[in-house]
Amino acid sequence: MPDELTLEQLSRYTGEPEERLREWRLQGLIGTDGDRLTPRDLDGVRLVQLCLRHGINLDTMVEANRAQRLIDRYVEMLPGPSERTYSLAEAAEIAGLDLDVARVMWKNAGLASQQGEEVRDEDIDAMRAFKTYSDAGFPLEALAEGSRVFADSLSRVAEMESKLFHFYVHGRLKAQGLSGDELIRVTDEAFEMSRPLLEPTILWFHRKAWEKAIREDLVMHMAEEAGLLDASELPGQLQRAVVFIDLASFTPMTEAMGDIQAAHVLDRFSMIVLEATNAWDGRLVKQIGDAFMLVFPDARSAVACALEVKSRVAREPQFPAVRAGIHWGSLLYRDGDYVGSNVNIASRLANEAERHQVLVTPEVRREARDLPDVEFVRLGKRKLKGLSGSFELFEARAAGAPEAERAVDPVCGTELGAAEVAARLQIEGAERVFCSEECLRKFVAEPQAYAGSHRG
Amino acid sequence: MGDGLTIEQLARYTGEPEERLRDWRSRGIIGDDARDDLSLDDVERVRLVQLFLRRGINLEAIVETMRSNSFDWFYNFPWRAPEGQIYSLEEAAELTGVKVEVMQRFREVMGSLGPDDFVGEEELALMHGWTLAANFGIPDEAQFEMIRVYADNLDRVGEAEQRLFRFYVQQRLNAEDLPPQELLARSQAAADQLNPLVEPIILYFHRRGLQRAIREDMVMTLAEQQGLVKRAATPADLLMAVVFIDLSSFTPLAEAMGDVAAAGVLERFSQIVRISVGAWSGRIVKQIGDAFMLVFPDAQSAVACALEIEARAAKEPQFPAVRAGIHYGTVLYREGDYVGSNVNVASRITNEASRHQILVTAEVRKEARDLQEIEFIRLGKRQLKGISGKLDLFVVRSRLAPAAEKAVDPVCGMELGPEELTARLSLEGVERAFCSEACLRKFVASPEAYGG
Repeated sequence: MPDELTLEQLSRYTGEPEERLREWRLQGLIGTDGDRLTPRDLDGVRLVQLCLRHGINLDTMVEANRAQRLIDRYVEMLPGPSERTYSLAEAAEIAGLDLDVARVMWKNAGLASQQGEEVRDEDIDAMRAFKTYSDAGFPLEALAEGSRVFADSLSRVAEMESKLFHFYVHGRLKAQGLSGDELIRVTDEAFEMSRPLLEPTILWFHRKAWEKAIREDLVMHMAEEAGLLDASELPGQLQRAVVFIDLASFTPMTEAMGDIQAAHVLDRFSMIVLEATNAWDGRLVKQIGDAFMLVFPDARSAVACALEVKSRVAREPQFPAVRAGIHWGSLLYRDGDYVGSNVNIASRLANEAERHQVLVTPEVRREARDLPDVEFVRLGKRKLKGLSGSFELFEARAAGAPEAERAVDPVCGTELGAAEVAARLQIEGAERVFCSEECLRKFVAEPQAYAGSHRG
Repeated sequence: MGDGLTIEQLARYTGEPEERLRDWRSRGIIGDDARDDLSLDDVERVRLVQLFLRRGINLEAIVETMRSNSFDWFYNFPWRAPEGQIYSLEEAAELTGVKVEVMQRFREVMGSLGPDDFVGEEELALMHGWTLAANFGIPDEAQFEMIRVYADNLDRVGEAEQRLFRFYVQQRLNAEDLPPQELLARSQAAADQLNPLVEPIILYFHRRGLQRAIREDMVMTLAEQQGLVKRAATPADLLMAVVFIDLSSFTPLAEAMGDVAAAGVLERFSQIVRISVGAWSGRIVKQIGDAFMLVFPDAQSAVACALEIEARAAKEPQFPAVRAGIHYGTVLYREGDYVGSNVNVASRITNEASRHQILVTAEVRKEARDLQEIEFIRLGKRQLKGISGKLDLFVVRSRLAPAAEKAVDPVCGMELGPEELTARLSLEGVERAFCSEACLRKFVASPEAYGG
């Protein structure tokens, strides 16, 4: 039996005046468990507060709760009901955790903004685990970093689960004409059936990822022992090759083709990048729009991977060109991310690259120079935006036959093979090709807007 | 199929010639003296050796380490049950109803899953889940999207665990100069103590994340019912405010101060962003260097949050200036990310912003115009890189008293209050402030590089 809460406690935890809570109770928004108020009503109040902040009025909520039990169902759907609540200080004491450490975990996990200082049984279990880590010698900053990475990553997973459920299950049922009680019943059924699958799936992916991380760690360890790598001096410092790789004209392409078409191109690109990265033992650190940041334990794999992506993309029909920048040096691992000026250099290099170009620094060339079938062409010194001094740059490319020339649509920047050209236009002594009539129309309407060459 | 493998099977699963595998066996890298046949563990060992060799580590060093058993704890995970059944892809397809092509693609997405043509018990359970989801009407493409989100995010978690263990446990033990056997025993003891905690923590954070996501989903449903937002036209089409916010001089700062100090600045910034985004119920979609991409269900919260971040950052001692760009419109939800031309617009606007500036589009102004204590100043039409047509831009700012003027270090771009100055330099009639002697020295060495 869960603890009973008084109206005064509920008011203190949520910051709502008792007066207003009484009104919400009368309207059936909270206090659904007969005469008692329980920790579940805290969730109810928080949901009502969130809705109000987003401009949803009380009438809509009361109506939705009456017709579809929306708020009650939400509260029931929540995982891990708690028997009682504790203050942060009480909880830290029960778990034997230093209050400062508890506070850091609470804040970094995003719980401070979600549930104030009200702690539940399952939070205390998590605090006990943190206590063990703390005893094993993990300093405060490591615990903070760990909790941020865990909270961010798993919150992203949960967001995906809920969104896909909304779009593909609930949305499809609605599109089939289900409504009212029937829609609620079938949606709830589907939710109940899918929920037990979520946690085993997460654990499976986690185990695979953990094995991979340990394998990488072993290799790093061996490479240090064999003198191939300098041992790191600071926590988080690693020697890595960083790659930024993107599509040279994605922004104009999105504009010209529309979001959905562009998202398909992006899907294909991301599959190619992911597969090549996995094949060369790299890590996809992040994707921002059409740009990917990758890290590799050695420069050779980084160069080989970038060239592989480039050549695979060049073979895709109707696809924009790829460009990349690669640098090798020491980076800092922070919060599941890699930072440091060497990362900035790689990112600036990618911006400097032209269509189909893979630009690298002398450090990369030195490390990767014995790669077979790859040549490094010296481009001379260049200034990079935001960085002082100038950089000696090289272009890495596959030795051997150059790819067939392809024409470029001036509107969307897509590369077109001879068979893919929808229209050719000769104007003022120049010939232009288009992937579709739509791009042609855009061009004709405003030729000066597309006068420059596309470099992204 | 049972657990025991012949050398021929091992060769097929790993792509190594039998000849070489025999050599590795005689050197004690693979196989087990207690049994004649090979096992699934050997598949793993071969893959590890392949990885070492690719990384330029020579066979002698590998033999040395493999013989000392330092890798054994790698195989000691409780979920690795070597006696478990394995199935061929065709058998697994038969049992689960998932097509062989789908399973193959799944393996490509997952990267080095292991041998390419058999499936273990756990993976089989996952494939049953795939069929169930397909029966709910989730198309294959959406399932691959799920797989990529699971794989990416849990990869990040696994990486963090291993790195933190290495930096804070392993390296500390290494520093104690223990004899190798003792070092091994102590790290193994630490791992044995900590490893069982990991999965409960993962599930805990996932439950917390799910709680939040379900809450947001309810709000979205209610907002649709009240007619506040249009119902999505295509799956994953959402009306959102997108914010890009960054530090306006982070690259020169990282260069001038060094990576560690710059990472400290970044951590403070990330803390500020996190707190403000939580308070305005937004989401941090991603961080790239010093830039954060945020989304909010409404434009008002987005503007209020950006102003709060700017105000908090301006109060920090020795901190660079913040700038932001905000746009409101439909975006596509894809793989834990939000994409579409409206995202590009927000990102390009941010590049237009100067120090302390928050730039917004006309759509944001329309949605957020009722916000109290805030004014929108029209900047006029601007042409943005990569976007055709011109956009009407506005600067948004708080009507409350502006922050005190701060001096800017020309080398690292740090903003300095009067007490934070280390040096002032008057040169050719212009006065400059510096956060440290290091920055002053850099400036004096080449004033022209810093606009001198």
